[in-house]
Amino acid sequence: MSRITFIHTADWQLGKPFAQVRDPDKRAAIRKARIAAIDRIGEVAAQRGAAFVLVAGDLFDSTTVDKPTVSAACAAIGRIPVPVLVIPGNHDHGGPGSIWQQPFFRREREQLAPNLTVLLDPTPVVLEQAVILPCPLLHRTVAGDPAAWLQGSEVFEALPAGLPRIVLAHGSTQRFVGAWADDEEEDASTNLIDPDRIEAMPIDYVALGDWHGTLPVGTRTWYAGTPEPDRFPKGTDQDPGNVLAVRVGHGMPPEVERIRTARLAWRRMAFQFTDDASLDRFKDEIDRFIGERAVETLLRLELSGSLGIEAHTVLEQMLESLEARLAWLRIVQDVQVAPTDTEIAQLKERPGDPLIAGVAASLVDRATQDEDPQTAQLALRLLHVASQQAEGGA
Amino acid sequence: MRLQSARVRSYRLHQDLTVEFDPHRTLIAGDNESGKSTLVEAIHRALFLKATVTGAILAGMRSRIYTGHPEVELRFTVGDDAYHLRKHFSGQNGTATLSRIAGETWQGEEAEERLADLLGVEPAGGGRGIDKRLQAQWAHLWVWQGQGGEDPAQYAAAQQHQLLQQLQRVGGAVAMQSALDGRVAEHFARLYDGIFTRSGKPKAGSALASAEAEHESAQERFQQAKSRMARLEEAMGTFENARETIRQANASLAEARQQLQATTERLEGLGRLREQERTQRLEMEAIQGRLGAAEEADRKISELQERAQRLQHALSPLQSERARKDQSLADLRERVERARKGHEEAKERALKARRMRDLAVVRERVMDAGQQHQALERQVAEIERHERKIQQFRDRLARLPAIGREALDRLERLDRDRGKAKASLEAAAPEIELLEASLPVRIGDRTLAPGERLSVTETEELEAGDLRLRIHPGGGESLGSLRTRISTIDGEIREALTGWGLASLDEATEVVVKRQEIQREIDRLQAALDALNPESTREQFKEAQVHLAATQAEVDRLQQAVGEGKVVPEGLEAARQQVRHAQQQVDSAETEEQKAASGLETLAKQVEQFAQERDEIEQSIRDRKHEQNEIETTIRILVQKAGDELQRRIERQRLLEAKQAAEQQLEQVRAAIAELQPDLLDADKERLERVIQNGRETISHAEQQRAAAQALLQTDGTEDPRAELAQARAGFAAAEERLQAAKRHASAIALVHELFEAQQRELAEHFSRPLAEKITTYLQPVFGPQARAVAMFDGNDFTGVELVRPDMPGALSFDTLSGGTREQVAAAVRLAIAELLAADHDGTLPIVFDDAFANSDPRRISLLQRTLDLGARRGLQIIVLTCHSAHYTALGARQVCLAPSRTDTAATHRRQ
Repeated sequence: MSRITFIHTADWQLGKPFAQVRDPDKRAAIRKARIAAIDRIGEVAAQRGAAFVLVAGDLFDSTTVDKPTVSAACAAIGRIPVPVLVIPGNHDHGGPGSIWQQPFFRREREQLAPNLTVLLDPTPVVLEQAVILPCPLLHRTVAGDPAAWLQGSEVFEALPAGLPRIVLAHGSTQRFVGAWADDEEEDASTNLIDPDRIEAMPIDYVALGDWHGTLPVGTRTWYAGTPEPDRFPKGTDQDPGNVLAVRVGHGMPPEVERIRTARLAWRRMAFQFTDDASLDRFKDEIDRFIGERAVETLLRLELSGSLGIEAHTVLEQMLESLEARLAWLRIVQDVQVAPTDTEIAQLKERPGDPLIAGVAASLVDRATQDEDPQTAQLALRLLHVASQQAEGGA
Repeated sequence: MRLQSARVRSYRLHQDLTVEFDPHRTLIAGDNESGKSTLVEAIHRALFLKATVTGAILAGMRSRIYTGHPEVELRFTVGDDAYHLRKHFSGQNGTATLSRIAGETWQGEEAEERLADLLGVEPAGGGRGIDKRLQAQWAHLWVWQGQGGEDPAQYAAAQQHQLLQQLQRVGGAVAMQSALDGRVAEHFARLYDGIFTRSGKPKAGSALASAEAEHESAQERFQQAKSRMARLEEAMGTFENARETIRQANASLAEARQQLQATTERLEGLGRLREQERTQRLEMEAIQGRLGAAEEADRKISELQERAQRLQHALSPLQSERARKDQSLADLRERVERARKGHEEAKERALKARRMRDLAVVRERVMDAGQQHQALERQVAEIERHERKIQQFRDRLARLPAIGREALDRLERLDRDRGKAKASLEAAAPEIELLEASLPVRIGDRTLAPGERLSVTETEELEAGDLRLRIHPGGGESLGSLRTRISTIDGEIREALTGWGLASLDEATEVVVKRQEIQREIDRLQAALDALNPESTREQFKEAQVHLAATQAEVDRLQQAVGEGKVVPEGLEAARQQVRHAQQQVDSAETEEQKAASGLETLAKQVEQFAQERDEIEQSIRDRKHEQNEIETTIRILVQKAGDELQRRIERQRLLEAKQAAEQQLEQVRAAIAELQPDLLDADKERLERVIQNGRETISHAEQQRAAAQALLQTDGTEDPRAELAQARAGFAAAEERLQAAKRHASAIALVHELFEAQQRELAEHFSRPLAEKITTYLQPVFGPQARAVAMFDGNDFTGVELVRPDMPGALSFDTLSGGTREQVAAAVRLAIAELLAADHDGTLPIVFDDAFANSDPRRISLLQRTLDLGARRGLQIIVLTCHSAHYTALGARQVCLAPSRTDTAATHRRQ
């Protein structure tokens, strides 16, 4: 009995729109990164001498991806030197109108990716080196176990002996309900796979998709995770951005190796401003955090606290630069403008300009007491800027 | 600054005029064109116009009456210093000299600058537009003629800076808005105007409006993407449902088809059974038909045989009856022959009797005709006698001339006429009687003898010797014509008498009498003749002759027929007797004849009846025999067809048995049909067909739905609706964010702007109140203690003055005031401003009112004196120019009178 090696991957989510990224160029770059990851998977497959690549669902982000995405995907898959077997996941399910049935996809697959096989039927696929037991999702949601067809001994008795048996499935396991739910998508209560039940079957490996971090959920059951992360991580224990090189033989426990494929760094950072001096601290921290990888870094920046009027303006300028430099900057900002005593004095104590002084005093009152302090803060900033400009111009 | 005196030389209509001013109140009076306005203009130009001015403005100053360049000299004080100013306006060579009394003197440009400095003004300069610039100098203090009612706010605005400084001083410690304040406030006002409309709505094109629009379109795009996605998802559901529907429908369709197959087979079996039933039924009916026919034939044969027998029985009595009838008929015919002979004889006798009677009748007629003929013959003879007599008279008449009464009357008339004519002639003609003559007297062509009397009936010439007389007979008709007439009448009478062969008129009269007598006789005879009716009598006579001859001929004819035998009667009566007798003979013979004829007829009828009866019996016998023949033929045919009696019985038996067998079979088939429940079978078929049809429709419908859903799901891949939805959602969120930011920004700007406005209002209040109060003090003398002024100040500018009066609601803006009131309010404002500004000018300033109250009524002008006096008391130098000096006596001013025309004078000064 010998082992074979194959690549387990999933959740490529090609065509994901990244709609929150407003800049179209940045958005295109992030989308492209996902295609680029396929080439790296090809390289890994070649290096590890993999017999084939299994994609455990969600190759596409939706069942209606556009033509350029289809073509780019097929071209990239075509460059992988070994067969690629795919099941539809919940994002790209094989239901009516699915991408797999669109004539354009079929044409592109035929022309660009002859090594790609889409497994749309829950029936065993016997390869030279292994038997694949696909559990494709043929609807968006399956109320129940997509692997339910793997039931009863006769299914397995009919399989050729000696070949390793690999289950290819997509869905959540009960242990992770709600744990990876992103802001707007995925109802984790459907497509529930019971890993214990599958592990009890005479199979050798279960290649799962859906969970974007790399994660074993049994002795023979793994989530490969997405090869290129596509969202800001929620915790520190998640490990997206890998593929798995699996060595498997019939009747033997599998040997699983994580291989890093990610290029983009999705990072979260939080900072609280305590005074104007903390602005320098923030700058240092950002520099340290990003280092030389600005172009590949996607940052979710959560800011709080307050700054004086001028410091706030400086912060804004900093953020402006940062936004331009990073692959994507998502700012979750709630920085108050709290004029410094000096600034307040500058505005209020103007015996020569009684109007500005009067207005400023009124705004300072409002900024601290009013029910809408933000408007008053902004007004104060505007007054500050306008006064300085007028003074400069006078 | 205070004016002390002015001297004006060679300035328009002034040759040389000097006016001294009271330090407080000066009234310059003068009629129109006395040069009041020229005076104040000259003073104003001395103060503000460069001496070197040229062009139109200088030309306007020059006098057309007096030689020399215009020159103005002023004496005035500023503070404790007295100054003398002299400007000689001679174009570019014009000179200006300013000297402080007991001090230094400035010349030319220096003098001009020093003067502007003293007056606190920027020099007006020269060149283009000098008119206007000049007019603006001290415009608040100089009320030019006709400008008394102008809005004083403009002067306030012109003196803004100084005024505000004074007001700030008067109003207290409040700081004035700085230039920076103004710029920043203006900056926010501009920003605010850029964002909001007057009604406070976002302005089109502003960042806020475009953020709102963007937000709306992002929302729209999001909704569209959502609904497109929803449609896709619905299509997916539809597709799956349709697929399931088709699967289920196909399953039930297969089952229905199977059932239909079974039903169809059973229905085919039923069809076969029904066909069988039909055939068997027909067969049985055929057997039954044949059986019936056999029985019918049997019955018919025996019936016919019975009838033939009955006919045979009825024939012999008829035959014996026929023989009896033949005998009776022969007897009767003999009797008829006898009767016919008797009848012939009776007819002959009657004929003879009738001829005898006819002869008798004709003979009677001959007698009668002979008698009539004789009578007529006599009448004809009488007529002829009369006619002969008449002829005789006519012959006599014919021998007399045929003179009628009328002809005679005419002649007599002519005769009378002639007589009258002659008488006339004799009466008219002069009668000449030659009594004696020596010479022959000729009259006409004849000679008149003495004593001869001559009636001259026509013009004649009488000659005797050399005496010639013409005699003209005269009177009435000309004698000639009378003579002519007489001769004409004579001719006519003669002609008539000659025609008749008579000699005279008397003869003619005689002839006429004779003719009349003869005529009367003829008439009498003619009447007698006419009474005899000669025509018809002759006619009757002729007829009687013919009738007599014809009757005689008839007698001869009848006589021939009858032959001799009867005696010819002697007379008419005998003839008549004969006639009566013959008639009796005729009657008797005819009665006999009738009797014979009647008997004959009776017998003939009897014969006819008997013959008919015999024929009827004969016919009856023939009919029965014919019938018998027919029956026998029929029987023969029937037997030929159906066989004899034995054969027929055997056939009947066979048919009965066949019938029973067929009935049994039919019963079996019918039972089999009933077993199949044909009614239900049909319903089943119909039902299953319906099921199949419904199934097909369901499938077709589902297929359509599936196809439609598929078409919808068959995206062309140019875009990803899910990605589009995500984009739209993100876009909407971003737009929302931007909108909030824009709103906040707009609110912030609005807030700053409003705060600035509030500040400015507050500031304005500080400045405008002291000015309003000052104006009010000048208004109250005219409008009463309740009147009040409101000064409008927008933070930078005074924009207007309003008047508040107790008897009017609200504040009245300057524009709405009447012309007179405007003058009074404007004066108050000027005085207030002058008073405030005087602080910069050693506490006093001159203020000139040139005919400034033209629209004010005398009462108000009278009240105005208090206002003007108040200004003077507060340090102002009031100079009033008027042509109604009487109205201003209450001012108590020094009055200067300008004469309308002068050569060279100082004005008359008079203290009032």
